[in-house]
Amino acid sequence: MVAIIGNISLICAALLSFYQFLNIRNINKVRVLNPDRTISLQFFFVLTAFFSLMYAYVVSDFSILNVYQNSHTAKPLLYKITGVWGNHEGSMLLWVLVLVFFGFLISKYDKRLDLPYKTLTLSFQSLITFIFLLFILLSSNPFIVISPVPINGQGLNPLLQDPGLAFHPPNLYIGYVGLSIVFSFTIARFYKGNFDASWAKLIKPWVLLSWSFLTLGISLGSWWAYYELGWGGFWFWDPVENASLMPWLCATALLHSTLVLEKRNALKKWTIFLAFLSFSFSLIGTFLVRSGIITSVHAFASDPTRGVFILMICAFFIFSSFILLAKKAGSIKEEKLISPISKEGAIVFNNLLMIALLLTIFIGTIYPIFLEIFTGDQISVGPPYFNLTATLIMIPAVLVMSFAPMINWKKDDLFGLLSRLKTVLFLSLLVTFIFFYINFQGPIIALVGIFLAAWLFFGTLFNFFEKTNYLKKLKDLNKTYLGMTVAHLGVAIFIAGITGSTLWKIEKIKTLKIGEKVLLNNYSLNFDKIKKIRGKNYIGHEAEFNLYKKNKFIKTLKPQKRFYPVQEFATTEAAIYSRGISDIYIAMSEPVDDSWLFRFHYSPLTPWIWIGSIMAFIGGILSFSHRMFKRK
Amino acid sequence: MKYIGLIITTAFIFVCLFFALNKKEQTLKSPLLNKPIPEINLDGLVEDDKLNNNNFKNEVILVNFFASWCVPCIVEHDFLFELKKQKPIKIYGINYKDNIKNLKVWLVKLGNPYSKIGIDKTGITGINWGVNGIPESFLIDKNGIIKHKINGVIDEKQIKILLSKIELLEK
Repeated sequence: MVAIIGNISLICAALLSFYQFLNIRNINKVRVLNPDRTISLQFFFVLTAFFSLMYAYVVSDFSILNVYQNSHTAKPLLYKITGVWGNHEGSMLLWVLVLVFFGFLISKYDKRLDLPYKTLTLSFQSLITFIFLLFILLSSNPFIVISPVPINGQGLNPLLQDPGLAFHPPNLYIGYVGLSIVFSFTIARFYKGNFDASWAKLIKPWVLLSWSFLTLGISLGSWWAYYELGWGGFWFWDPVENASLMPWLCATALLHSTLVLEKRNALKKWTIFLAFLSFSFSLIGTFLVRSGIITSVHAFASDPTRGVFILMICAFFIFSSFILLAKKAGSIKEEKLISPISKEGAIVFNNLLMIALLLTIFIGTIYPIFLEIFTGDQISVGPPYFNLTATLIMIPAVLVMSFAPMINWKKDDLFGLLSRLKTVLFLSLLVTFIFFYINFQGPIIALVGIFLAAWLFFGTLFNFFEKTNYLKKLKDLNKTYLGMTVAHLGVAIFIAGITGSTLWKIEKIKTLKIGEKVLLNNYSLNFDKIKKIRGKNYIGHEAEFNLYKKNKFIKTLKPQKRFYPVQEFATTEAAIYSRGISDIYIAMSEPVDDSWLFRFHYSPLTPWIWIGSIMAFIGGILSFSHRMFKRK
Repeated sequence: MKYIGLIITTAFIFVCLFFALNKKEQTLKSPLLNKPIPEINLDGLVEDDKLNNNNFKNEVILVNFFASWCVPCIVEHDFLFELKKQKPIKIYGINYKDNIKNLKVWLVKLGNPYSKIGIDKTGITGINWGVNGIPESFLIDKNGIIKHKINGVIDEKQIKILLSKIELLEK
């Protein structure tokens, strides 16, 4: 029954979206058909399909192959629900759900659009929906039934049974798919209207929304990896991580170039190109993750035939958009930018650095694939390449980022600017010096990191004070400006977090017997107890550590090692004591005779990585809400 | 004209990705490919009918990891008979972490396409052979070298591939 409802809903949604796409032919007629109804219906049908699948998961309906392969009656309810998107088919359904949801949002709430342009945009959006629904129906259908009905399911990968997973993919998808709206807005503009400041104003909130959710989705994923995988790191330059970072970088560049287009009527072609590129990279990201072309720690089921399908979808959208741009580029007139010492100059500079970083990561990610085709060798490009190149590119970007908001449009005076930056420079050097004094064994690059973080932090704050006349005019402040300030401060905190976490981390790996202790920086950890634990669908061991600082008891930490019998899979649940400026981290491993193997980390500033990311998210949402809902 | 470079580069990337994908399809990788079979010494279903390395000589053999608890294996079962019909080849079944009673019922119900069955109660043989999840099958040549691996169910498409590989190996 569920399977029938699901399949019919998907087919109805596909037909409706195709019908809406065909409406493009009628766009020049006097009366344009309002797309609201078809778009709402699309949303309704996909939602029905999604909830049918969720229902099948909740009641453990193993007659559906997808439920059988990814669920189990013993699984806690929360993970039955999140298990819906913990697999390829379900997650593609979520993808399309977000896609039609965005269409729905535009048709209902974006009052800034005139009817023909809205119809055109939503028709292109429907084409994307149609193609992805076709992909689901033909090669990734979650509603395939099996007979005889198995008694129980195979269970969900235990690593994915975690609150982090519950929210990581939906957020990431809002980000990815939000870029599809920007794509549709751009394509539609080639046929209705022109690329002027008003277009920049239209797409800006959607870019902001996608960017914010990409930021949140990526950081949730990284937080999940940090405490669930038990490796003690937050970023591994894994191809799948890169697949999410690339659209983010592109969206970051786009976010800033729309600003130039809005204020200076320039960078039109570049902005169009970035709008296309952002969506292209979210498609390529989907391809890299879903085709299994790259060996990754994110061991998703790989199926090359699906890969061919997604690759064809990528090729279709990327080529048609690039060719459209190439054909129409001649007719797009724009102002020339002149002065390098101007806000637009700084933005162009950072745009180029973002794209340079994007290409560097892209090359690092696909290089192993290319090498394998041409030579047959299998290699993996590791963190050393990415860390080095990313650091080198980010240093100048952050240097400029600090004062870019202070510079005037059109032209500014270099010496005036430098004299305004004196205070900022002094404060940043002071902070760097204090860090040097406290922790002088760190490598030089760590001091560079701290300097950059301080430079960005004080630069942003200084500009905020200037703008609000030292908080006297706080009420007059534009919310978009506030959003930018919060986001840039977030990036500063984030940089400090990365620096501390990667360069000052202390790691100890020790086998301990009960009663033994380990010293970590100023802390001492006493291994007091080990006990057996039993959860709903796992068994395992939990160790108890009492954490002391200078003989003063602070907290009991309980790392776990879990074993999931259904999947025969063990997971590590790290115990983390976070003080806001540093983390104590314990991950537990296998027993060796009567002692146990543990990994201890003292990671200074690590929580700042997530504090900074959340600030960036909040900043983005602030600007989004202001742009979207302000009264004219 | 400025955009031609962009489009050509993109096209080049796509062509490469397409080739890479095709290649991936042909060789779902196993580090054991073109290497001799790992050590194997298993009790059989019947007493004194052991399955060990001596059973892999002078013949092309298909080794199939299966279990009665594995639903895809039921789907695969018919195709194993189909394969034998098209090409009389020896198929050794390795029964992976199973309950012997259930296995016997299963074989009576669905039929037995296997020339020999080894019981891998602990799953150690599965580990030695690098089995990720059953069903998985290995094609072994006359010298006991692993020539091909199939992850997942052997279906019509896989049978075609298998038949062409077997023909090559038997030459």
